[in-house]
Amino acid sequence: MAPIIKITNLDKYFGRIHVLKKVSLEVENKEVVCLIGRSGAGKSTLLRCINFLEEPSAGVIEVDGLQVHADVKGNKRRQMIHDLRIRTGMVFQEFNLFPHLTVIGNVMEGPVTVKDMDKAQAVKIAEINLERVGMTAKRDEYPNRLSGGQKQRVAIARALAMEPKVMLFDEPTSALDPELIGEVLEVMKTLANEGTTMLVVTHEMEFARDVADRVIVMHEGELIEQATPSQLFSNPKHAQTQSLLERYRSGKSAKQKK
Amino acid sequence: MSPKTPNTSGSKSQADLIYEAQMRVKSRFAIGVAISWIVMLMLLVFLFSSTNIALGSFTLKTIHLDKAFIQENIAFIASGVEVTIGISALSILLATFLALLAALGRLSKFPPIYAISTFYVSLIRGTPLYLQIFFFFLALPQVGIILPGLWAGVLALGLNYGAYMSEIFRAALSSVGKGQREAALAIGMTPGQTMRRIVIPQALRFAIPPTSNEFIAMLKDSALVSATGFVHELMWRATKVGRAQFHNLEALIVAAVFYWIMTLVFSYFQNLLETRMSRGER
Repeated sequence: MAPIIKITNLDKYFGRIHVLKKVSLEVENKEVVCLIGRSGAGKSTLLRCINFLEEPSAGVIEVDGLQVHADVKGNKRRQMIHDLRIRTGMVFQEFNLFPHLTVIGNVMEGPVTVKDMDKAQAVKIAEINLERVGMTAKRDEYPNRLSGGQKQRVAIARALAMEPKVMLFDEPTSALDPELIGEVLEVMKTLANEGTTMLVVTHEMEFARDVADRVIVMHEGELIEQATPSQLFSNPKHAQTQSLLERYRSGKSAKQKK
Repeated sequence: MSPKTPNTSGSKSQADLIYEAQMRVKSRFAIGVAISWIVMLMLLVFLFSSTNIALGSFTLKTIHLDKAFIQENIAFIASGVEVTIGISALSILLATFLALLAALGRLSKFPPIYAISTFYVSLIRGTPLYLQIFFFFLALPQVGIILPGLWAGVLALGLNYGAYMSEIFRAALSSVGKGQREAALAIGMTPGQTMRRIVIPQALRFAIPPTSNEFIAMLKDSALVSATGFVHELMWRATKVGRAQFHNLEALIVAAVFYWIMTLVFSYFQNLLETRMSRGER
């Protein structure tokens, strides 16, 4: 079967800084891929290039059969980017819930505005997805009444409501208090088990180890190593990977000492 | 907010005691302010009481007002209040609309749009409001547009305030974080939909308190429209009867009282609005 995400020779410059260096990556349908690496390695930029929130400088992005070249122009470009965004759901580090809409309003916004769905049907879809993330009880609250973990779960439901082919997670737990990380990871684990295709930028090594089908290590704009989590965690080949995992292990043992 | 649920044991918790002490300080302050206001108000009334107090060789004089004139003409002047509120309300609507357009233009990446917006703001802010009001009365008829006095006034005030308020709306639009736009785009909304459904609703919430402030300022600036002689609002009526009967001071003071009362009433509503909006914290 053809991969559902196929990135070919992706280049990204911020001014003169070369952030992504000819990156190529394929993600299979129903695969869960975690992207790890130091901050500044280009993980988030890579993710954000997939739905053109960041404009790639060169290369090809393909999602579910839709090929978009970085240099396509004009109306065609606008339409293609739009189609790309409909195929992808994105979850942000800072949640970015719409504060003027209720929880269910947030989740309905996409179906109603983008898909032109009638209200009753959008409510149904929103309710199903709030149920999936365990936020049904808060459906009529405004975001400012929710904890960070709850906000992020609603944000996940909002992305799911558009029924995307793939879900992109951009450090979904990095802005959360430690005690709230678990509930979000739990929801993501459930999605993974349900067969959602997921590309996750994360610092949560445990999540990567337990949930990912494949872990990719990024360093200075390149994918330097990829393997199944068991291979990667037990036998890291690249020096950068080793030092990255070293920090994780020492952090974990420090936690255990407490 | 109400204190925590009462302690079943009957004795008050530390938190309750602190809360009550804070409330006492607050209410004592409010009472002090109210008393001081009353004293100043009484002094102000006394200033216009036409009483003369002899203090030895020195006489303390206060301003004399003709009460009969005031009684006779207060109704005539007061009927301008409606017009003043009406012209201000219409003007603030026009100004809000123009300010939003100008602010969006200011954020545009298309040079002509950006230029139109900045040109408008620069031209309006670079000339006096008084002059602009005359301009619409004098210039429009020359090109065959004859607006009723009220509408020419609304046009002038709306255009003027729109230019100043565009800064408010620009700040309001940029107060909506980049993440909001990205979230909207990521679920597939077009830039236009993102603006209409996500950015502008949040920006308006941000802009309401300063806009109501502008409205209160406009209530008084609408007096300038009287200069053209065609809009029978508060100021026009005060100058008309005052001049006719040589009681300018009395007439103006009556008008001043009405302006002040209007401002007090709308400030009260503004406070209500602001408390309500701060509760629905963003």
